[in-house]
Amino acid sequence: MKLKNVIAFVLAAAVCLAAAHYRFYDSSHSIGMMNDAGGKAIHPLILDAGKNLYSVIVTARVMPPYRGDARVVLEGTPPMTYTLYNSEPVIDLGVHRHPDFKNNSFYGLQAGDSIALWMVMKPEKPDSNFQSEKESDIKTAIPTGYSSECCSSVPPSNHAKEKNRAPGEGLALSFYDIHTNQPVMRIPVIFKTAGEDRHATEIQ
Amino acid sequence: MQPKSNKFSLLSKYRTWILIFALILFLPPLAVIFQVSTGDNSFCGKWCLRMFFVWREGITVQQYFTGWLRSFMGAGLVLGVLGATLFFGRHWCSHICPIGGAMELGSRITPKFLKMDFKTIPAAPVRYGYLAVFILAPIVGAGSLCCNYCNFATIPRIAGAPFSQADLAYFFRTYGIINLAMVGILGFFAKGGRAYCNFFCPIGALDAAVNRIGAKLGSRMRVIEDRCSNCGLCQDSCPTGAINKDNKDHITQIDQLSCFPCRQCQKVCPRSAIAYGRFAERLERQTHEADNNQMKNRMLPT
Repeated sequence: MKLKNVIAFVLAAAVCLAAAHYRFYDSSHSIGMMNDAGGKAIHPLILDAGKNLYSVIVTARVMPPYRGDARVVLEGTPPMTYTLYNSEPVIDLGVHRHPDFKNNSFYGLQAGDSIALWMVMKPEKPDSNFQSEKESDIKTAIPTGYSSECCSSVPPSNHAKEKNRAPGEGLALSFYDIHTNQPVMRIPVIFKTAGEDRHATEIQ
Repeated sequence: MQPKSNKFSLLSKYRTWILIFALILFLPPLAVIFQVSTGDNSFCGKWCLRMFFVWREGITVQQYFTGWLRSFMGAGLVLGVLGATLFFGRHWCSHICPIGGAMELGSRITPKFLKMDFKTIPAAPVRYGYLAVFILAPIVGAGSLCCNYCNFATIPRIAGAPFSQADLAYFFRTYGIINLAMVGILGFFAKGGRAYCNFFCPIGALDAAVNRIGAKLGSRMRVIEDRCSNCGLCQDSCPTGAINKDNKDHITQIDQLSCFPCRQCQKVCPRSAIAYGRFAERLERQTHEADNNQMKNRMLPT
């Protein structure tokens, strides 16, 4: 084997390993399940504190027997201005049904539907020092199996506290049934300052 | 009889149109294949080709195969692609893949002076260094390349961004910007447009390995040595840098670990010394017969 090839292999592996290991925290992905009982965040959005712009993706599946309309709101502190974009076909061929998304609300959700929302959010008061969680809490909150894009369906047990955070605590993307005003899903948004040493193993 | 694998075969003649057709089928605004099958918008979701085969630290066997079920369309496609490659070569990469196709077509309209040549970098070692990390890093919990660096996520969003704010939002994030830069540098601004495919595509890496494994069994691009003058035209035309004549014997060789049957080499060869088929000897005979037929036809009175 040529030395040049060996060097190329080792260099490529080293660069790729560094790329795999390092994670940019201005982006995150969460997965949730929406249902009558308040829903479930498979894992929350975990972001670096102190950025001026965040772009995140929230995907969720509607679980039976829930069906209805749901409004989406980013609530809690720190206050953020946000815009929601629904991911849907550019030209809908109409082969599959998609719930409508208007004025930050989904209409016609049915069991089995998958939704994908992009949210671009900006802190109302840019503050490089803001930190919504204690660092020690965050370290226990970060799942070992986590990537910015893809996610676990088995949340680490120590994540329960963050997922079950009461409304009003911290920041969360909440989904409420329009007619009953009951929550159908709540995705906590967690800010952290320290780097994590293990991530992106994406436990399924 | 005309050999099937001459330079005027349909796959050679209409390759550009086939690539454009694949773009229409897979990419926004129509994304026909996804909309008709699973209702997805892109390769992300049930069509994901890349994540299902990656084992992650701490998962059970059941969870691993749940990933296969979740991405059942992508899993089926990858298995189909690899099976077809074994016998017929990498036609997915050369003719169908809308991601590689988009980068190659983009590269064709990029002015020459802006293009970079990555052929001096040995592709196979880089590719398998990447693949090793792609597969092993999640197993040991050292991170993941999945999704964060994915041109199958990027290209559909480039196509969708002019129409959809959701697709545009992808490029607000650091990963979106990095992916865009990688697709630009290694795709649109790369000579041949296939540097990304050649270096950082896990499907391409698996496909190339199968291509090499089945090289003796299946149809591949082959050099007919008796005809070859080692002029080097094919080497210059190859988008993947798979053709090499700088070996110790100074004869033109095709590396089946990088070649896909785009047939650019076949088109430019003035001596018809490259053909697609199972055996070089048979190809030589067929090409010889084709030449004779051509000559007879020319000599017939009109």
